[in-house]
Amino acid sequence: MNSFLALQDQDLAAFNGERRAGVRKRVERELRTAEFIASIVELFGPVMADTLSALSGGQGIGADETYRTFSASEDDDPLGEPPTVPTGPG
Amino acid sequence: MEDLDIVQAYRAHQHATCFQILYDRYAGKVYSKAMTMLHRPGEAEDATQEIFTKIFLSLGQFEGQAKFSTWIYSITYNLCIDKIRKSKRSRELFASEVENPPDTAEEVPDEALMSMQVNELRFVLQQLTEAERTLLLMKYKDGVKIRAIAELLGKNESAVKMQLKRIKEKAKRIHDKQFTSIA
Repeated sequence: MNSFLALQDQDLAAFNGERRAGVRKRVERELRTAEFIASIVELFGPVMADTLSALSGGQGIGADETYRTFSASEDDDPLGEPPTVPTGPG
Repeated sequence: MEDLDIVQAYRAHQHATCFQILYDRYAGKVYSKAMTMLHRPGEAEDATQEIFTKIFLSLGQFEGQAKFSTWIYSITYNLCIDKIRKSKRSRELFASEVENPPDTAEEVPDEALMSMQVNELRFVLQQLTEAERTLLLMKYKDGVKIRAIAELLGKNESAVKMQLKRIKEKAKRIHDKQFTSIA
């Protein structure tokens, strides 16, 4: 048998059992931690960015309360009919 | 089940079973390759852990153009090389200058090394420098092609071939001195 392959077999045999399982547990733990951090960033990232933006003098996303609704923006169609002037009583 | 199917399933559901299958398939091989580069079981274990974490965190970047095993091995070698570079052991492994002048002796056949007993081979490897051991093991234990070794180490192919030739000569000399002269 090729002595290098025998050497490889011995390496593989040495890594079986507890050592192999131990490394797997450590990898799983690291992946869970990474997943947790990612979910925290996903959850609070936009809020943090908004806060930082507001602190640096910009306008936070939540500050703009004049969002136009879809139905209101329909009136911007230049080719469309002008909006009808509401008639008041009298 | 093919690797790519398992990778796609893991990407879609992050299911622990997919992780388990891929880990079981490649843990030993990755550890063995880390041993080739780092030589110390503790360091190889730590590297194996880092490599698998990196693999599973960057599975999204695997496009399936190369084989999954090739992708894993390239991550393995690159991470080990990074570790070597960070340690004080890097100078020798990446040195492009060769200390000894080229000799014209006939090349030692591969069989001369492969037919050694494992304990003899271990003895010979211990007598070599880290860089020599790494090159020899990459070529003959892991079966990495000369071109790939050259790319990984940032050398040209002929330099790697010349180094391997010298290492084989040295290994044979060490072996003969220790084991053949007795007989």
